Amino acid sequence: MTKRIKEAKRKRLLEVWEAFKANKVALAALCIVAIVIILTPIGSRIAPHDPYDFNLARARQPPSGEHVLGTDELGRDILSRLLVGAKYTVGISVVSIVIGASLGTLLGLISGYKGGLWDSLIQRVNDVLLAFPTILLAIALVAFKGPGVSSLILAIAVSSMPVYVRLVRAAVLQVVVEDYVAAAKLLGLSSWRIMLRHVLPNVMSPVIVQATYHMGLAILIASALGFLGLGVPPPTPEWGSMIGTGKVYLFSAPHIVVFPGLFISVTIIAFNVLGDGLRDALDPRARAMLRRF
Amino acid sequence: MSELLKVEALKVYYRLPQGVVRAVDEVSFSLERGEVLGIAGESGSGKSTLAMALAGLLRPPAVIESGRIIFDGLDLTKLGEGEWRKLRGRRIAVIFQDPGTYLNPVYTSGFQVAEVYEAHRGGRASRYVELVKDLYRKVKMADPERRVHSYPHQMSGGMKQRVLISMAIAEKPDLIIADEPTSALDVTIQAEIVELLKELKSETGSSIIFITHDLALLLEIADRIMIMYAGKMAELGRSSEIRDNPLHPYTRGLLSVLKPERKQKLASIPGSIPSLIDPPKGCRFHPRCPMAMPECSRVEPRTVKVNGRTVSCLLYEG
Amino acid sequence: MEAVVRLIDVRKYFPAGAGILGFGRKYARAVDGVSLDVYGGEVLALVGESGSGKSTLGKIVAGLLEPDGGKVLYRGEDLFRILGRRDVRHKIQAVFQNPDSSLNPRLTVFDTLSEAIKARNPKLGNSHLLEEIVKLLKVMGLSEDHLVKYPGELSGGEKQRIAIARALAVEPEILVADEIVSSVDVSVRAHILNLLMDLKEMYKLTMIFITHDMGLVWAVADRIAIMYTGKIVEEGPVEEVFKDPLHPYTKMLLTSSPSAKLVGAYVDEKFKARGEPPSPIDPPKGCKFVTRCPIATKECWTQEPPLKPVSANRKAACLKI
Repeated sequence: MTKRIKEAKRKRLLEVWEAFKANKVALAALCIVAIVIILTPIGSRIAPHDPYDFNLARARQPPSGEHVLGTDELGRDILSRLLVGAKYTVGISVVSIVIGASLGTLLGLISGYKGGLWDSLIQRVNDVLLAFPTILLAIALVAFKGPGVSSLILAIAVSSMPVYVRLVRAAVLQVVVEDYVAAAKLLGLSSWRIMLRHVLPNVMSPVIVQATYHMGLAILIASALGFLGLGVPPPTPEWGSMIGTGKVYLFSAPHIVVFPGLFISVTIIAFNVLGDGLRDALDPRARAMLRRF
Repeated sequence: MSELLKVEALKVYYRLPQGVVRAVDEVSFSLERGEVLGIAGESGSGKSTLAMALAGLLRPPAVIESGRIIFDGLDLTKLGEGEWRKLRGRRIAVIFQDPGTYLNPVYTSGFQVAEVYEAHRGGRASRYVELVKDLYRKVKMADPERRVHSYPHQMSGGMKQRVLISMAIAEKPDLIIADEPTSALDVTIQAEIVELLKELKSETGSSIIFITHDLALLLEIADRIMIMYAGKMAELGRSSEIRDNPLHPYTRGLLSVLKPERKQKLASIPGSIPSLIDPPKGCRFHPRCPMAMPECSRVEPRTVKVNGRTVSCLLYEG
Repeated sequence: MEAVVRLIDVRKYFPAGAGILGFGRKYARAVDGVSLDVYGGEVLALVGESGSGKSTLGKIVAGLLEPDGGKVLYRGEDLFRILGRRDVRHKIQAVFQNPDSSLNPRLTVFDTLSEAIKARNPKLGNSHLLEEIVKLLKVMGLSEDHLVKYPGELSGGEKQRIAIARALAVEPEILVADEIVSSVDVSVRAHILNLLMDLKEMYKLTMIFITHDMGLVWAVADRIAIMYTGKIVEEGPVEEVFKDPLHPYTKMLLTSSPSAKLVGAYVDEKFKARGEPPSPIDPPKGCKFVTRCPIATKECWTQEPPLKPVSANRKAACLKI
């Protein structure tokens, strides 16, 4: 019996996957996202050159067989820097969104389920956080803590969190009136158990979709801060700071700026398209429609 | 009496990627002028699809596969959207189940009724305020002078249904199709609305097709009742005959649930409603039928006349 | 007979509209002073139209909603004081109207039922757990195949049966059944009702059967209590109330209800339906039914009739009786 139940659960996941797979554009986006994420741990191993090895003699070379995407203003291999940079740009975004989304989901869950004083407290703090523009909040935090990977993660995590608090709270308020939540109360289950087993799984779909969109935004923020010199300090090959330091050569050696720019935009678009695809695939109504007859 | 509507072997299919749903499958019936025909069925019986087909409101993937709908000499299945627009609201009116979603929340109820006149007679809607007030008096709206200026959210469910009814009767249509018009209402309010429909019918001479899952209600208001099951007509007969002497085993089952003996076991129909993509072979009711014979799973019953009544069941063939 | 549950002047008001800084805030009186005894082993039908407060009252009896006034006694003790005890909590269970809302869509039937059984018996081993679940399914007329299904793969009737099974898994004494077959097709309804009545005998249940359908009341209930705008207007044995109703609202309800007519209940054209129920925020001063009552007189507008005994087992709240 337990085997058949496991099978049923697998079948359920498979259904989401089938629905997702039908959307070819989203599938392509998933591939790009997967590649970019795989790059974060292995980028430095597959890089053809040392990303920090500078040699002014070969500075600003256009793409060639030796340096596929050319070299930057200090003669470093751009492809290698981009591959290694994924660790910073994408890694920072993923980690910070995971932290921000998890914290936000937890607070939203408590806020929506417990209500009363908890709700008021969490919502007021959240309103304050929401009032800051994301970039401004990030700049302030970086200015306060000094630039570096951990400040960047903290900045993006804190600035992304309020969205999840709101999103999850709203979803929770819809779920708590469902009869199965009342039935769980009738069974005498603890609030935590009800929240984690009966409420949380039913509010996760929008969180996952939002987080996917948010990854794109986080990459943008990380790059923007890097561009402004507030991100990971040089010579670390963060994608945004690569554009920041290369911008003076925009006209004389455009490839220095164009390739990092291309990486950033393609990654962001991929995350967004993936978000759309997930939203459609996870929407139980859309799938129920297919099953109805 | 003369015949207003004749439906001949109508088939409405939904063509879906998973297969073809035969929502309405070879249904035939006719309707006299001034008659109330009740169509009863459970979910998936095809009654609402039939209503949509009669009102020309089918949208893909639903299509009329074959059959004819002859309304006063006109074949409705051949009509284009432009011709439908002229017919609908003027000669064929529809009342839906949920008046709340049918009314636009940002306009007053009176304005929305006046729009019916605007659509068919031209001019600005505001010209028709007095006519709308007359309509509201006719549907026994409390305080009509004030209610024409009320927004939907200021009205109760019963009042909103009266608004929809006044829209429907505005142009004195020949046929009113009422799809579950009282299902969202409380029983005392329902009783009033039903009373009102009866009065309006005898006043205007309109025919009414009253579609509902509530057979008990139909027994009170319909002249004749058609029972549908899984896209097919099970039985068609006068209300009193259906109530006192149901022929089809399905109808008998329904009635035994509706007329329970005090504190006795209810006669239950086993199983559940079949999928219309892959309906049972032969008679669609046979897997649940207490009187099923071996051939019921092979032979699809024809509709036969028994003492002026129509029934599709092998018990009555041959 | 002994009252298992006793409601004493129970009130529940919901805020309607915010008011300014809490001043002038208005309240909808969902339940407005209900006193009612529920006797052991009976099926008590709680009947009313939308807004009558019957569902709110059901939630209060089930311990899901704390009343703003009055007391709910379970075997003589204040229910909301002892509800924290799991054994007490399990004594009162409820099943609700909407099959699509009754089961957690992310859990298989197995998960749902095993959670309920474990809530009753946390130390149960896996093999015993499965045994218990299969036993429950059998009682419900469902098969083991249902265990691996998600709610989305079940029909409305199946979902309701699982919801009933979940409630019974903790061996309750009282079951609040709130419109449990209203959303289920008629042909499937009989099966669920028969099942419910069998279970009532098997588990020696006391049942509060909330419905708006008079035909169902006739089929299953021993006693009936009729609610109108938060108050009980009449109470008594089903046969007597159906044949010889006392309160004008009961008469109107029976006259209006097609399903009551089919079982041969009282009909009087004088009590044909008219008007609409008053707003629960601003109800009339005297009798709440006065705006629709065909036999109301002047004093009905000013004097609120109490629910008082008319005979040994019947009560009604009307000045004209």
